[in-house]
Amino acid sequence: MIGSKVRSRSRRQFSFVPLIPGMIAWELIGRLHVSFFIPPLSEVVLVWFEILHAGKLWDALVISFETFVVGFSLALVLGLILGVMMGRYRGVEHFFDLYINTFMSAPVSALVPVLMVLFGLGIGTIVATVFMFSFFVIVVDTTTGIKSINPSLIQMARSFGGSEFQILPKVILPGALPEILTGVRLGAIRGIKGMVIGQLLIALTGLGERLVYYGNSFLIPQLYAIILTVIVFSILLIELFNFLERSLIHWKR
Amino acid sequence: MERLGVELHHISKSFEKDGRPVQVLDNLDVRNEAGEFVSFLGPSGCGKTTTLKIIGGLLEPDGGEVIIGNKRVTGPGPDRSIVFQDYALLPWVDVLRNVAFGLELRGVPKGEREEIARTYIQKVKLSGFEHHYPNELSGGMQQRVGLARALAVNPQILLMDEPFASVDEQTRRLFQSDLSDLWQEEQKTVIFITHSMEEAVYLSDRIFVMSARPGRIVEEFVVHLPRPRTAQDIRGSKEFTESVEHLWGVLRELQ
Amino acid sequence: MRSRAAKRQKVFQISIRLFSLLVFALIWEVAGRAEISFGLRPLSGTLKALVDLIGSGDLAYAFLISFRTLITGFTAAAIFGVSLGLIMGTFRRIEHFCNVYFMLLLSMPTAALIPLILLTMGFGFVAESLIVFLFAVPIIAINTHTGVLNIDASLIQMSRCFLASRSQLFLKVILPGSVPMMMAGLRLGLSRAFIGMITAELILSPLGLGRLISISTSKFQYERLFAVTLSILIVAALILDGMQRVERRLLRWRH
Repeated sequence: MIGSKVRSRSRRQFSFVPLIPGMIAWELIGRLHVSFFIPPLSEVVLVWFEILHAGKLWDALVISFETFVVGFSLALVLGLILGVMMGRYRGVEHFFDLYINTFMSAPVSALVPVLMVLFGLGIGTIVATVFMFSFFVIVVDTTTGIKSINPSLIQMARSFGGSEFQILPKVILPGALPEILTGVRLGAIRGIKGMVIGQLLIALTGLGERLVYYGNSFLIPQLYAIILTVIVFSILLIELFNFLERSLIHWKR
Repeated sequence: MERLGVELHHISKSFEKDGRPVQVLDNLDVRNEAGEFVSFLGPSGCGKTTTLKIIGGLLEPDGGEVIIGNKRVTGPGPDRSIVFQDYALLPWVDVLRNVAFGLELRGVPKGEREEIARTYIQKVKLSGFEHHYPNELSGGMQQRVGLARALAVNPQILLMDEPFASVDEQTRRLFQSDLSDLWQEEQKTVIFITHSMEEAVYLSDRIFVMSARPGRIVEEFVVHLPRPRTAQDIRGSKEFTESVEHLWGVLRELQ
Repeated sequence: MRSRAAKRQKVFQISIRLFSLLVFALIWEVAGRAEISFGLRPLSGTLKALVDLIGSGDLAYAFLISFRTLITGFTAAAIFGVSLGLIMGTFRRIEHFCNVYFMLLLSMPTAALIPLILLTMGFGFVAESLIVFLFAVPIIAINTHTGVLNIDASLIQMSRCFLASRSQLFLKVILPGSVPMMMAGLRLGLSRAFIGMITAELILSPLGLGRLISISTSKFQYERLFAVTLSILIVAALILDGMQRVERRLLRWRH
């Protein structure tokens, strides 16, 4: 019955088993030569090892990871600072909220050409793209988290003579941690998207460059191999953040 | 209208909790006469609500059966309606449509069902709130909507699951006396779940006191207060106080 | 009393926002004039370029072309995503099968698929609409699905108690109950559709806004580039904000 399963599952738990029939179907369709554009999965996997050995893939992965880490770390630090300020002070909140809310849902990819003009055709632009993709959601969720803290907890800390500098690390940040971590996870997911989009548009480095290169050269299995790499890369990163989230807020539940 | 009683024959039920089965109801054997107001009284976790849902046909017992009017209960039926503890109102429609919801599901034409709904809205003293949404009402008012909805389909048996559990004391008392009047007027068979001794004594003809884990009937108590009851006459009376004291004695023994 | 405080709060909010706009405009203007970066152009030049673009009709034409694909892809995604979300919420087996695929689509960088789509379909209206579709559909389906799962279990019990048929349960409880999450999903889907559209047009851009941006960049008309980008951000923000307003209107029952 429809009602019985409500709330019985957390939203992140799902099974990977249904991927198996999909993979088998892919292999079969590939082997039946349904389309030139669908090579069998096994061939894609073999090609993946080939290009990994050739070294190009490894370089692309390292460059991608580096740009992601730099852009995301910047977004994380600045996002947390701005988010805390906006959550604590009304004035700061209204000074920035218009831009934050706009960029939160705006097509950030439209900024890439502008970033290119400002930062040149290099890593700088991609780092900036990663930053622009992940920064805003971190700010928004941090602000929300801080504003949603039970005010009586803060009053309690004040009544014991706690100063703002004591209350912040002891009450406010731990209280807002679940939301902050959600923002960080979403920021990371968006950051990876930004990284791929930036690399695709600049087509100079990283996995994005490989995608464009193999696409333009009609090397279909290689193209699939890179797409799979991007997917696995992002899933691993997301799982890492899920793990962080789970281990840091063990007290909740 | 034919009046129906409810019979519970050897009802037992267990749930799984953390992988282990927990016996919630153990061999419950109860008879409720037609037109009678019966309460199940007990501490939380004693399976009162489970009992009510089994009678309502929303849950199936592991053993035993529920008989209503010589027929075995296999699911929900038009002879019963439930007043839910959390009101269970549709938040996206107004009071009128909420009250008419049961009739709407039964395919009663719009004009007719709204007329019936208005009658019951008046009976639960919510006239003027027809076009308010549940979120605009207090808990007590929301529960009045729930009661009107349950009555609007004209069931023989009304099942009430701690209807006043989440309203404040003042609202609760007003609502209790309105319910008492309504029962006098409508002459339904009522099965009422509560953890309040005063409430049970004030409203019921008979009270079944339940123990927790596993849920069993530990005492059947007949309330000898005259009807119709009004709060002023009853609450101060010796009989009322003694009944409550007696029930407290029984419940205290259970701890 | 409360409305007075709220009004003062509103005035404070608006004046701070205006002040902030002024500060940013000034920073932009000064930074642009000081040529902090080779490509940065002052706000005044950007606004002038924006007026020219609007006056010549180039901007409106580009938006028209881009929005044709946006609307096509998004409409398809809305229809497909909502239906699939409802189906996933209603049938457990389909849910089990689809969940992992949608989670993958939701969190993977969809842009990685763009070269493959361009390769197989060539660049044009269909390929771009497909890209828009792929960007928007996962969040719409998943949100609708979540909306169904989040429906209060007691509403479903209540409907069963009033003998709702499967189709009544779906039409009168599940569908309206999942509307809030569905609407939020559509809004988020549109936001992603924008990203997909712009990315696609920027990668290989004989179309719409992407073309306008590429031409401006290659001709070193950076004022135009800034103006187009600004207009995209503003238009997207206005549309998404409008959607949110409609959403709040329609969901007034939630407060």
